Amino acid sequence: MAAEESLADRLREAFADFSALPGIRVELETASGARVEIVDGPAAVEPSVFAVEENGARLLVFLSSPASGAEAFLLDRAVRAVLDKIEVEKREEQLLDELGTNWESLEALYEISTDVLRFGDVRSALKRLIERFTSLQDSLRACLLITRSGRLEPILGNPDVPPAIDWRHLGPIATPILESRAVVINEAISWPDSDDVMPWREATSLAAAPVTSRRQTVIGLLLVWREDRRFEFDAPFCRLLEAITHQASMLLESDRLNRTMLENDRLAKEIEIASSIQQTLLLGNAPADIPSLQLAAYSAASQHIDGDFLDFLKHDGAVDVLIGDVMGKGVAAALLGAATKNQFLRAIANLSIKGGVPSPVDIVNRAASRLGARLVALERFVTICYARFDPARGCVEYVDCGHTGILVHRKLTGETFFLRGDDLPLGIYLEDTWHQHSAPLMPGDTFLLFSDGVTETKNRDGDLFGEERLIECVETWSSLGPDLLLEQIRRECDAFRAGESQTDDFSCIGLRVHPGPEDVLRSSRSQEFAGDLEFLTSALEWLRETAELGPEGLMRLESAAAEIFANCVLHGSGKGSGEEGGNPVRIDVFNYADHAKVEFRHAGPPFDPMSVPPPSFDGSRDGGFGTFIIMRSADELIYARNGAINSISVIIMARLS
Amino acid sequence: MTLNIENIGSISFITVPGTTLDASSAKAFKTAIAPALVPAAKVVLDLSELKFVDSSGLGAMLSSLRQLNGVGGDLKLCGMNKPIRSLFELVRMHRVFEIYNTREEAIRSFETADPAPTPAV
Repeated sequence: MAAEESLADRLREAFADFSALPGIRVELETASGARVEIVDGPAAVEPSVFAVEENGARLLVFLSSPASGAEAFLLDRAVRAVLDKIEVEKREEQLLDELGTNWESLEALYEISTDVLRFGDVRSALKRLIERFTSLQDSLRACLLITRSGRLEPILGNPDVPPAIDWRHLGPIATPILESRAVVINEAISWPDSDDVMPWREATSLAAAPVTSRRQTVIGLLLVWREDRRFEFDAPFCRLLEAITHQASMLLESDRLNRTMLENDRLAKEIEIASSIQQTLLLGNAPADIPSLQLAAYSAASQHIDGDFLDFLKHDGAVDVLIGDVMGKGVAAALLGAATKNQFLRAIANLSIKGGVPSPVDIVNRAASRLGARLVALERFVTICYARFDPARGCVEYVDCGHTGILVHRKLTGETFFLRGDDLPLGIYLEDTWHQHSAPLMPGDTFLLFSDGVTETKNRDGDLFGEERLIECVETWSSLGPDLLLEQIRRECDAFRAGESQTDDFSCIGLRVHPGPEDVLRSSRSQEFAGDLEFLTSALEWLRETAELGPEGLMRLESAAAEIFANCVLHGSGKGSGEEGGNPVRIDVFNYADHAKVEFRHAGPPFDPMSVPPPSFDGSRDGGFGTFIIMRSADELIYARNGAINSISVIIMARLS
Repeated sequence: MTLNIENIGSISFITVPGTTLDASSAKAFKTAIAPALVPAAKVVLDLSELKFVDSSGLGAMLSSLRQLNGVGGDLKLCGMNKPIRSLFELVRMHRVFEIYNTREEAIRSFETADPAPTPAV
């Protein structure tokens, strides 16, 4: 009734001017048929009727006498003009109301956006968000639910926080929310059975919007409701709800990122500490001052910390090398690696006190007896290879406990093969016996000890780098010495992975035996040749006459020398590839007891053999063969740059027949 | 460089002159052999006079093989000495070229169209 009275008052005000007109009466007929006087005047029989509102009210205009056509037309226009004016004023009022509400909403949103930044934790920020939001309307209740382990856990509620629920308990609102849509229901809802504890069961109006992750996955919802029957959520409110829910999504995402960042920081610090421990405890430095031996070591962990360990022990011109790999990765493996290495060092120390240098098998037995029970208890095992390289005795003695074996490239015979034992890793059985093997160590030999992370380097197709590729690497690059050999193995494994991450620890030890003593120089000669390919043949003829090598050695020297000479002339001119240079090539030949060393010196741009891409063996490319031929023909290749002079030395050993 | 070309049936036998095919002679060899690399040509390079080949010589032969294969022809090798054979094996080119001990074996390979050569020694 109040609404009808309000309408009548407005009509009276709007039609006040009509009171001055004689013979007009205006009445409001409500939807129920009741009539209210708007303009007093004489009653008449046939009124003109005008619709006033959507609820069915009508305006009845009576004239005391019949109007002419023109009069009726003018009256009709006048009444409609007044009604239109009323409608416009009403719409203006509504717009003003809505603007007021939106302004309040915008203000609230702004407050929330700035307020939440002041809260240290996401829960406080979300609580503030919900409280501010629900304060916009009386009796508005809200609940924020987030999915955890497939259930919806209410993390905040106003006024009550219900227990965890399943999606099915959300009845008709579950589907639109899961489809990332907001939902509004302005009527009592028939909820599924069970849970009377859900606080929105008595809701007469309900709205909900999805909370989403950065990838637009629904991770929860913000649900609001009221229990007063006359209230309905409208479109502006729904938009505000979506904005608030978006804000909640951002807070949750920001919190997740923040927690991830903190966790990453913590892990990074832990890894940094563990990595430095690993460098100190697990990785030994390759000694550089052992006569007739060159050593190099390289280790890269898959997670910056790993269970690979290695160490060197120098004694009486020989060197002991220990390499091991603990099952597993991470800090636990690193600690176990450190403990294993420590046991080996203690075993060496204890046995040495009792007299002399202990044999590798005694060292392994002693360390294994201390470690075995602990490893078995921890259900971990360790593969190790303990090898002693003794140039004076010309042998390598080794114990291989389930490790990858020792790869040998023998220049004197041109063979490449593995030295392997067949003992089990430490930690498989409590009681086990270990076996020592012995093999010759010859001048020019290259030995490679490595972890399985090298041969098990994977590409994106899941193929393994494998032993064949490793053998190829060693045969090609061993003439450059262990340092550059290990660098090349690393490069080739990286190239093989082609961007795939390294999944396993990667450790290598390279050891090369010097080609032979250089204390007795049998003869030496030098000759300078013009930097022109016309002189290549005469240079090769001179080398054949000068180098004291057998036919096989001469053939390899000729192959290497032809490539080096041509390289000096064609690529060393500084004029660009293929342009012959005029700088002479000086060749020095030094003949020793069992090998010849030939040095080529030439002024020109630097030549780095490592920078030349490997050749294509399928015949699809011509390049790269020259460097490949040099490295495969020479037993040792030494490159040095002295000022503007390139010095390339090759050592050719007299091979065993 | 002048190449000695001898045609036996549809096969052209080209003898590489001199004892070396290296950086100093590879360019001249490529120029000299170019007229023989015609569509569908069957060419056998007789290397029996050669004592030494380096990567440039090998590259020149590889280039000729690719050119001929590109126009439906074929190039095979024969008369290779042991050091040159070792070089071919070192750089795996024995898998790319068909290598025969003698001219007769090379002729038979074209007649039987059997691409698998008998191992050259």
